[in-house]
Amino acid sequence: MIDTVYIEKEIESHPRTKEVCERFPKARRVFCERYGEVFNPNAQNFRLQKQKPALILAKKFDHFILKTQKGYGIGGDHNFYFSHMLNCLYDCRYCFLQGMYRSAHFVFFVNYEDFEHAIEKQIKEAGSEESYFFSGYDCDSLAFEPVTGFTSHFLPLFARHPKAWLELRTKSIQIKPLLEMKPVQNCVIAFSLTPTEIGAALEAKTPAVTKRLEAMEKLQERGWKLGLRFDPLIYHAQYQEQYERLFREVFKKIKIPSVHSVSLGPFRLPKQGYETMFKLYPEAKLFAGPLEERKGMVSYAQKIEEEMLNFITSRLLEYVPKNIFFPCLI
Amino acid sequence: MKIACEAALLRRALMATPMPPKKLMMPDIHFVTALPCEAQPLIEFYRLKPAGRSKSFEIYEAPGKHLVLSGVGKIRAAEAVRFLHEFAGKIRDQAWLNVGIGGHPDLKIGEGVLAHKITDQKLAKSWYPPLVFEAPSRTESVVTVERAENKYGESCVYEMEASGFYEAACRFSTAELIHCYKIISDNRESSTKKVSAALVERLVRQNLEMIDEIVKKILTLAQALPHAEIPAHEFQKFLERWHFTVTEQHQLRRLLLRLQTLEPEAEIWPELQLLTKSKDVLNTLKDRINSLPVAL
Repeated sequence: MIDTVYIEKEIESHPRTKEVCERFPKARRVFCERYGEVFNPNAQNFRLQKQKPALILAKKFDHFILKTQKGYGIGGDHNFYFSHMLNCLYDCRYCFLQGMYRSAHFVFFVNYEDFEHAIEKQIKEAGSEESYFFSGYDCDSLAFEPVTGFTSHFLPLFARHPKAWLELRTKSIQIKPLLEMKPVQNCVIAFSLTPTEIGAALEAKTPAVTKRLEAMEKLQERGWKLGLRFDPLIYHAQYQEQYERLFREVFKKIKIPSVHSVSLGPFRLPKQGYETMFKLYPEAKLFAGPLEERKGMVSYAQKIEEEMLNFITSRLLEYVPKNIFFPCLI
Repeated sequence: MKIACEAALLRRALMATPMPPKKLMMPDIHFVTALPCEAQPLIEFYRLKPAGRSKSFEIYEAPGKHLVLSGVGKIRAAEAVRFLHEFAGKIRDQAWLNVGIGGHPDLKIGEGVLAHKITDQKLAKSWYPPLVFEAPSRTESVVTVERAENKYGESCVYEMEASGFYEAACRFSTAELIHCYKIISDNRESSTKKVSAALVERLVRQNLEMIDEIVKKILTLAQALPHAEIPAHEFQKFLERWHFTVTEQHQLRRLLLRLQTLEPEAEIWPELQLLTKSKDVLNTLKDRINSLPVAL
């Protein structure tokens, strides 16, 4: 799977570096000073690299946790996100990462302990108030789990701090470590879901929605709190019947008491990101369709977006109580 | 600048004998070699013909292939890349391969390696050619030095062109399509003193099969680059009929590409011809796109 591992010299002897390297004994190892030397140069093509991304093992120096944009959240006032990885195993055509990074290589920050300190500091500052920490913004939280051991490391931390919530955002079915541990009550395993036809057309390399639902059922049985994320909403001629069918399938299997929160978000991209993605995939119908620029963001024409949001919200609220519904309208 | 002019003049002089039509969707491979003895086996293998000579560089070519003889050193290599880019019509995202010799402390003479890291020893700067295809040969770190290296301090390939070649080629193509293949000509057991033109030619000849495999892999990879574009003559029709500002030209190109994706057989020209203003053309295209049924 991984043919090349780039390693920052400084973390060559880090135990997590050694563990990861042991997983890929045949991969060539190339040393670098800082991951940016490999990841940031201009003359790179995300689309080509996506065919065979390399793994970069790096140390993160600062900005371990960042505040989320206003309007993003699942019920709390203090919202932060953090990324132990950059880039994702999957290849979803709508994903903003394609427009954000020049390289499709996976960057894995091995210094978990520094993330941990930053999170604990923030929890302390929040005092008696709840804080929400979102993982899965710059990567899928679980897809690389066998390599990163991310959940095994971070869930015990959150188990010690019940006022701090952790959201793991994923399309992955790598749930084995979760099934093997006691559910952490302040952790939400949030699955991104799209109708099967949209998944097949736009979410390359991801597990099928039916597989994601099976994984969710298993987590539900074990007592984990689930999140349902219908994000991004993708418009096309048959979207109404497809989302209706998706909701029927989801709520046949997933019971509301197991659901911590439900959110949805329209398909929106920063203008610059859209431009980059269009250049990478000019033949993609998604980027050729009825999109327009509004306030520096590219999204479906306003009429379409409103129609879709109203329709999907109304159908979703047939299943979901309003107090756990958090539409994301950033 | 001087190099660019020289290449353009040379190309213009050769226009009397136009290049054979290029296959669509397949980029060219551009070889850069320092020495005639490195180039000769490639010239024969790919049946390259002399295509031009300037004061500084010699170029050989065949359909889809070019080779420039750069001379020794990273500066010459960088200049040769610029020269060949200009000569070959300044087309971006072509495949580039630097073939040359190098020394390594332990590797055996004649072994060929692809560079997975290139370091300019003097500048203390490194580049990391992304190996997006399965490398058919061994891969190694390559260090570009100013003078032939006889001490072989580290376990890497020492040579004299790669950094100049790579940095220059990255200005004209994407890194995944730019690679260096180095054939070991000397090591601790067999010093640079034993390296002759005849030996180099023999070593390159022994590696031709591998070089060709690498070329095929790079060219196959290049086919994954997006190819959607509006043919120049089509676009020109619009510019001749209406006045578009530079920003509007960008918008026009984008709208035409979108329409081409959504409705490849669209016959929009008759409708547009009735319009007098460029803005109306853009709006008509937008309306047409927005009116089409949205498919995945």
